[in-house]
Amino acid sequence: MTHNYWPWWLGGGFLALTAILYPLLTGDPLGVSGALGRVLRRYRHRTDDSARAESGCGEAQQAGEQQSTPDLGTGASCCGPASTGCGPGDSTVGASDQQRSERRSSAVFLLSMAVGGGLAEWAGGQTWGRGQLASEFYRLYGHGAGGWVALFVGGILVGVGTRLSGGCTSGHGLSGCGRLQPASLVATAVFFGFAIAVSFLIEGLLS
Amino acid sequence: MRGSLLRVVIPGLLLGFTVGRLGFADYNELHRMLLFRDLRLVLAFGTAVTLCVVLFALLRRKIRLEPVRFHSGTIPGALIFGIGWAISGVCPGVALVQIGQGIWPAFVTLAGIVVGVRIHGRFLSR
Repeated sequence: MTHNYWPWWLGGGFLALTAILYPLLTGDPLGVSGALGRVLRRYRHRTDDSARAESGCGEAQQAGEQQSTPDLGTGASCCGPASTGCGPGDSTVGASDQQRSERRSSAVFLLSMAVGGGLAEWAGGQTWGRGQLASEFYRLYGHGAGGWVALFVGGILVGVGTRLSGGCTSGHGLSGCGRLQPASLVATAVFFGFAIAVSFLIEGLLS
Repeated sequence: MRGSLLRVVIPGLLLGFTVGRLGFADYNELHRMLLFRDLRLVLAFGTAVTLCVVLFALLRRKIRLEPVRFHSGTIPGALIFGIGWAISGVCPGVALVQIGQGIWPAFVTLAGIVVGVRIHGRFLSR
């Protein structure tokens, strides 16, 4: 299976374009894990990075997650001073509508990414729906249960880690590093470093 | 987020397409990058960050974003994410791109990510 992937400069250029375009169009920083968090969480606020969200809104968030009914007053008053979009607009009822619309637009953003991936496959002349991961994965984990466990457990670590850290490859790596944010620079160095170390470990242990 | 859904559809399509065409969602490419056997993706990422630094600086009056807060979860979270990234070959966006590419095992990865986000929301968010 041969691939005609883009050269580094083209891919790098388009990644940067996305990281710039997203805040230009929405006013929020690009962040896939943040969008996932907004879709999955019963959140009370609108900030993108869990880091900022949790700094200002942690207690309200917890309270809200325990109750099924939205605790909008607390959420709005808590978030108000800390974040741009929690401002005057979402005092009571508006907050609920805004949160719903944020959840919807985050879901649409994530779906668009999947569609974009499908289009890339088509544009690259690949047979769509080959249904398998790439060969190195099976060389390391085999075709049995080990591979499924690796995907599921790896996925859990990705989910917990990105939310705990407040960003992923896009939020910290592109958007945060691009703005020279110390937290993002450190986080990116750490997740790249550990990914490299674990890759060598996997290669040494499993191959 | 204000405005129509097109504001998120355009960057979403663009990011998914770029990740797909770059091969960032290909386990072979990612694994080779993390072993330093192939520097194409490292160069792509470095180029992207460099361009972002320049463009964010040029557009600093147009794009006003809050600082990213450094907190007690920043480093442990990044550490956990790095381990999961190497094991599964995906960051959150890549799982979605793989599903879009018809790589069905990615549904299992995404299920893991969803569970992880839920675990964080329930036990780890302060």
